[in-house]
Amino acid sequence: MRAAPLLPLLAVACGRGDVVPADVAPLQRLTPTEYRHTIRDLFAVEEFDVDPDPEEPIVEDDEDEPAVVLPPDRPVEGFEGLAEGQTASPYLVEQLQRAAARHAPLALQSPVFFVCDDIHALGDDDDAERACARDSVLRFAQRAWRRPLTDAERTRLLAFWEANAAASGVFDGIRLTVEGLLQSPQFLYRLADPGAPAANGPEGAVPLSPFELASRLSYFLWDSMPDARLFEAAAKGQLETPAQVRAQARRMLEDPRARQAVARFHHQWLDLDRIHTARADLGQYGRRYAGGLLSEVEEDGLQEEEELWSAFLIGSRNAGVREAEQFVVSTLFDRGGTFADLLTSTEGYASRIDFDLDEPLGTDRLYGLSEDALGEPIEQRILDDGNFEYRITLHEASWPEDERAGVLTLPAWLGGFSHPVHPAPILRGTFVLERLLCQPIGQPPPEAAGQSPPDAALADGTNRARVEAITADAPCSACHDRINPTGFAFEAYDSVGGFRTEDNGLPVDTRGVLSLGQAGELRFADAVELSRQLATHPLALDCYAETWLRYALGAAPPLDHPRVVEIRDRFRQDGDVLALLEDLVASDLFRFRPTGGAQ
Amino acid sequence: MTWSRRQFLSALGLGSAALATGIRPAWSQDAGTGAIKRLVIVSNGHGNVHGHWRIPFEGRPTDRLWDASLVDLPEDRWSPVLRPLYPFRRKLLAIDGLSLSSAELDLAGYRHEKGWVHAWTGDWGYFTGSDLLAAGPSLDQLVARHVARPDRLASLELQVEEGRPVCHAGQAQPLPLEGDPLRVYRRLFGGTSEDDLDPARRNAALDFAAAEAEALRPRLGAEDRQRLEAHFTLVRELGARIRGLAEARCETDGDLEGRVAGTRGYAETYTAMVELVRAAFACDLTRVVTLSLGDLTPESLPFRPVSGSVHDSWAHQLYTDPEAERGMTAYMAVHAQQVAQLAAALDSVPDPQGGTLLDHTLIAWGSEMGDGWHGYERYCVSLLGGTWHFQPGRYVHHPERVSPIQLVGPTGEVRGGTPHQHVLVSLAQAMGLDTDHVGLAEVQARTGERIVLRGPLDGLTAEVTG
Repeated sequence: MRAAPLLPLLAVACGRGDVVPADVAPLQRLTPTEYRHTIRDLFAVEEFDVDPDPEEPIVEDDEDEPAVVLPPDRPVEGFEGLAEGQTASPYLVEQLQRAAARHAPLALQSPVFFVCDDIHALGDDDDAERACARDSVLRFAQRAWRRPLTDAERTRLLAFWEANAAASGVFDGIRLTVEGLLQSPQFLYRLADPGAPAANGPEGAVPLSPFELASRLSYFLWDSMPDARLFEAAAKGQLETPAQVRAQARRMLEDPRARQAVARFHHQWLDLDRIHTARADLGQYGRRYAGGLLSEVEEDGLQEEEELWSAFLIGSRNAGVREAEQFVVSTLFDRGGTFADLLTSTEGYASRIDFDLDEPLGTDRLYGLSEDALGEPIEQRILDDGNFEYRITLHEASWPEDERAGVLTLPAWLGGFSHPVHPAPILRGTFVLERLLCQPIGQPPPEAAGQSPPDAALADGTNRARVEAITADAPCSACHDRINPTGFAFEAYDSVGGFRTEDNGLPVDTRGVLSLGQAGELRFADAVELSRQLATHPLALDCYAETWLRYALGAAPPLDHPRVVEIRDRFRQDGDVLALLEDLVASDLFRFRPTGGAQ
Repeated sequence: MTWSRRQFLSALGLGSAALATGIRPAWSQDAGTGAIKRLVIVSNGHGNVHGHWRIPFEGRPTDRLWDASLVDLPEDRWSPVLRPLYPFRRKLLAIDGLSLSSAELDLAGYRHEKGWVHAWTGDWGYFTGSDLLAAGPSLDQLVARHVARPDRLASLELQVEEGRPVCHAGQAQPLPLEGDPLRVYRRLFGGTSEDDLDPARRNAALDFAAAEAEALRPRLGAEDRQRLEAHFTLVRELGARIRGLAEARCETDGDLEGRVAGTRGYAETYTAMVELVRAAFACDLTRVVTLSLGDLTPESLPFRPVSGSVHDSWAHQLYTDPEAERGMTAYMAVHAQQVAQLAAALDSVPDPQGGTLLDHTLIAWGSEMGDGWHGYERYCVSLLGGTWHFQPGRYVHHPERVSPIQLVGPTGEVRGGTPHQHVLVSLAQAMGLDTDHVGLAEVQARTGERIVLRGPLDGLTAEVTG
């Protein structure tokens, strides 16, 4: 799919003094990611793998019990979790039913489900067993719905539980009741808290109830439900002031779940899933990156070469995505922590990939590193796609400073924005304009149909030259004047994301000037320079902050709203990303909702 | 005691053996009244290669409606793309002279996107500001609503590799496509630990959830209420389906699950999907299927592709590079072969209504565009089956380049052919819908002329006279 503009879609009129804009209150359903994480935390069953990545070529361990995979949200400008992309379908409700049925029995193994120490020890005392089960169900419901139940809800739930227990006995009764709870709207959707007093907030807005706010915090910072401390803070009224909310956020950002959620945000921001369907060309890149591997293939072994090359691509793209996420997380949590660091740091990672073959390969080659330039291994993962077992070892690595700078020079991003033979400057340029600068490009005109050049080896000239040639004239030039120079900055990276100084035997030309209208222009010699300039550019800082805002709120707020402006201005000062997240959750935008809307 | 749909004799073997042994799907007793009709939509990427899809009939005019028999046409005169369908010539309607001209009038969206929306909804795209969705439901969903049993799956939306999103429940409601045959198997036949409770108890959980949604209603704003209602209406419908599927009786091959598990590569996945469709039809578990076929991968082609991607190296160069033209022709022949494979599979199982499953099935094969150049003209449509409504065994030619809607072509602007909406109407009517339009009922060309898109396509239900 194409990269799409990040747009302030609606210029909604803000009434005088509005605390929060009226349209920022969409009803959000748990995303497939949030659902998996919520199940993990709700049952606290550690060994249960609820986080299979559907993109990874991992064959199910147990053929009889494949994980239930929920259909993904339709990404809105790259992101899941936006109400607009959450249409229900027959298949979705089927999978939610299947998932509920799959997960409900976990209640019986969960260390946090029963309120009594050992329900099985109560076997002789039916009344005590039932009482424990009933109270456990009630407590579970409160955690699943992330708030206290109303009296009516409690009555309905108990009736459901009694009927199930009567028909099926205590343990199957628990199972069925939990199955119902996991399909209820209060679990699947983030709804307004009916227990909250109808407080009169300032003009057109009410504060979220403490429990609503706890959920909003946890789904934003953890992609999961609140933990016990957050529930406790909500219950004790300790989420009232901005300072209290900040303090919770600070605590939550120290939890590993925050790292995972921040990684997930950037995964979507950088559209890293693209790499999984990219397919660099064997003829063009095979010898360079997997020469040793391919040399073992006998003559005419084309099929075998394709298979080995596919294995290399699968291994390196998985490694690359992991490197990208780890880079983001370590940069933001363990190192400088600024937006500028994200775009300029060279303190990154590289991987070695061992197949069941003689020669190990790695992404170190893409970064131009020798094996002895790798730091200590920090993680090993094993993937199995049925053809090969991949043992991927992640190492710390310092990337060459004149060749790499931050996220836009990651092979996982570069490789996704490539055609098989040639890198894709048009895709790369458009992405940078739209996602990094929030400058929507729009559609190519109808006349552009079929005009893009063949992705085949060139007889002469460079990729840059041929792209320039077909986009030089009107009407193409109107947009390509901005797209091309931005994209050409990345011509030093091939379709796998490796660094190159030559294209088709000619030196690559990465120089460019990007005009930003009133915001001046950027002049750069290459992607490293472009990244360094974007790193401190107000437009890029604003764009990044706005992207987070929309993600946090589930819909785009009007960009001229005073609270939005405040957050942007604050972020412009130092670009501190975790501080941005704290500012965001402490803001009225996050803590209030318009009257009449959902959480 | 309930029993799984899997616990049956092996009868759905491959090929003609199944016909010989015969299966006895029990649904014939509970399927209700009226003949069962089924629809399969096969949609591939990159249009087709009209020059090698069309069958040349000498001396026939380009500006008139005519037809020609395919039944007696020697195989060596069939076009390279359609030749794989020769064994099914008696059931085939090859329709020439259409265009996706309404897509050309649509302003927003890339041409691929506009094409796949218009091709199967006949309606405008619905631009959200970042994505092009559909303004109305796709044909498969309209038909599913009409022919589905409430106690079975209304439709299956399947993909092989990355299929285009061609299924839409309604405005801005794209439907997810499932590409993992094992997951499709589970939907159809169950068989995991979560299926061990009886459906009445399982439904109690659904009823509880739906009742909670109902109880929340009064407190919600209009928009939120609508969203929850859409979700929990589907939940209530699921209840009927769970009961129905648990009661479904049919015979299927005990190895089916093994065969569709862990498939690798395009051909294996496609074959698994075909087996699943056949089993689903044989057991009347669904009556409407969409197969959205993603780009063929290098290893699924019977020849060595040029380097580079199908999209950029071949599809775009269709009119400028003879090698690309040859490549795309062979590429489309693979898709035709896949359609033939599907037809053969359906033809291998007897239908309790008489004949085979194929005799009561309509397969519609089309694409997202006219051609790989991103053109909307010369849209190639092949219908297979639907013999209760159509008169097949023919090549039907509609006048080319007659429409006032100008289309962008490789040599400049050209007039479009007959708008494809008419064939969607024909398909809908064949499936029993009482409608005279699918999607748009009329459009206005840029010249201001009104073009009526109502009514079925001429020449499909009877031979062309005169």
